[in-house]
Parts: sequence; C-alpha cells; structure tokens
Amino acid sequence: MLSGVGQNDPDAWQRFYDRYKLMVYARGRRYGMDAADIDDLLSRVMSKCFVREEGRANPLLSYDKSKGRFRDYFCRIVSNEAVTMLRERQRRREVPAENPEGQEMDFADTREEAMMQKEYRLCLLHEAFEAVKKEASPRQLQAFMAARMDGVSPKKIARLQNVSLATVYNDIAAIVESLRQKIVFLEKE
Amino acid sequence: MEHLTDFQLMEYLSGDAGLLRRFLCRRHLRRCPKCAEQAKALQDELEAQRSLGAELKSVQKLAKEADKTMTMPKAPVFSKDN
Ligand SMILES: [Zn+2]
Repeated sequence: MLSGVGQNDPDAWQRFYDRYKLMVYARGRRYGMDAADIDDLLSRVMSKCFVREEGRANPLLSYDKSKGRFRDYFCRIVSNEAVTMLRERQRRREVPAENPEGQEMDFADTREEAMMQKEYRLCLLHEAFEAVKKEASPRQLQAFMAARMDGVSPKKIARLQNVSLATVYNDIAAIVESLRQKIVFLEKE
Repeated sequence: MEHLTDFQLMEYLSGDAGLLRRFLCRRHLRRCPKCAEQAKALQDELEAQRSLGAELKSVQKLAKEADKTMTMPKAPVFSKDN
C-alpha cells in the first residue's frame, strides 16, 4: 500500500486514507477542533508524510524502515502536529488551557503513548470490520450486529430471521472469529 | 450425571432460556464444577464479544462523523512552505 501511495496509485491512496483518517479525526475531536481545523491537521500530517523532490513528479514518503513501524511513525506525526496546532491556538488564546472534555492538557509521553494506541485501535477495528462486512454473509452479519452491537436478544433474532437459536449463536461466533483473525492480520501488516 | 452442552450454557448465559431451563441449569451448575468452569469460560467470551461490539459501534459512529466532516485530500497534499 505504501509503495502504491508513493507511485500515485489512486486505490492505494484511498486505502491509505481510509486506514488512517480516524486517527486524525479522533485526535482532532479530542482536542476540540472543528471541521476546518481537522482538515488543516490532516493536510499538515500529509505534508509531513510526503516530501517533494526536485525533478520528480511523484512524491516520496518521508518514512523509511529505520523509523520503526509506519503506523507508529504516522501516530507520532499526528500527535506532534495536533499538539503543535493546539499550542498555536493556545498562544493565540483561542482556547482555554483545558480542552472541551475538561481533561487537563498533559503532553507527558505515557499519556501520549496511550492515546496513540487507542487511536490506532480505532483504525484497526474500523478496517477489520469493513473487510468482514464485505466478506460475511448478510444473515451472519445481521445477527452479530443486532446481538453484540445493539443488544438484541439472540432469541428475538432467531425469530426475526426464522432460524434456530443455535444458528444465531453460530453466526455470531463466526463473525467474531473473522474479526479477530482480521485484526491479528492487520496488526502484523 | 449428564453435562450441559455449550448450547444450553449459551442459552442460559444469554438470558434466552425459559424459566424451567434456567432453574435446571442453575441447579446443575451449583453441583458440577466441570460445567461451572465451562460456564465461566463462555461468560468471559460473551463479555469479550459484547465489549468488541460496543467498540465497533463507537468506531462506526466516529467513522460516520469523520466521513461527514473530513475531505479526502488529493494524493498527496503539500503545504505552501514545502
Ligand atoms: Zn456438568
């Protein structure tokens, strides 16, 4: 995907954006940014990720393997850019010293790291779920979403789908298994 | 003593069992450590599934908001000072 992005492959770009947009969005929201600021954050992050080189039409990724895993590198960029924007706004006194959620601003490494992990998990779950949605049978997916996301009782789902209760349990378990496999796969990527 | 099946345990733990089945299940679980252990494992699995479901629900909500709020930049975007 990364090399595709570097070669201006539109599909790779779409996948890259789909994979990481939530990280930018979640951070922007956490810092109380509005839509324009979030777009600004996204644009700053992208301009740190890609570098322009004289005489080359295609952009170059600023990332290389010496920087560790790409996702950690990307997380750090999002975090740094968001904190920079926030500090700029605070200097301009556009926002009070506390963010809208009432949490104290604290840029300590441990908190930052925990936040990045949480934001990365959002991306991971989103991508895994989107992939499973494409592959799973509609009945299985409906059973899982109703039971585990909306709290509908499996008995009711069995009635609505006109299947046995055992089928509903099996369908839910099948989706959970696919999700877990997908998450493991994406984590290794 | 005949042990409870995973289906019977799931039915009990999910609250899908009727009154009589619930009573029989509870009684069996009090007397049978093997089934009690399996019930505990299934309960843990059920909780893990519910927590995954809750996470996915909030991720979906966030993704919907993100799609409404964010504009996908053309690949790739450079800032003016670059
Ligand atoms: Zn037993």
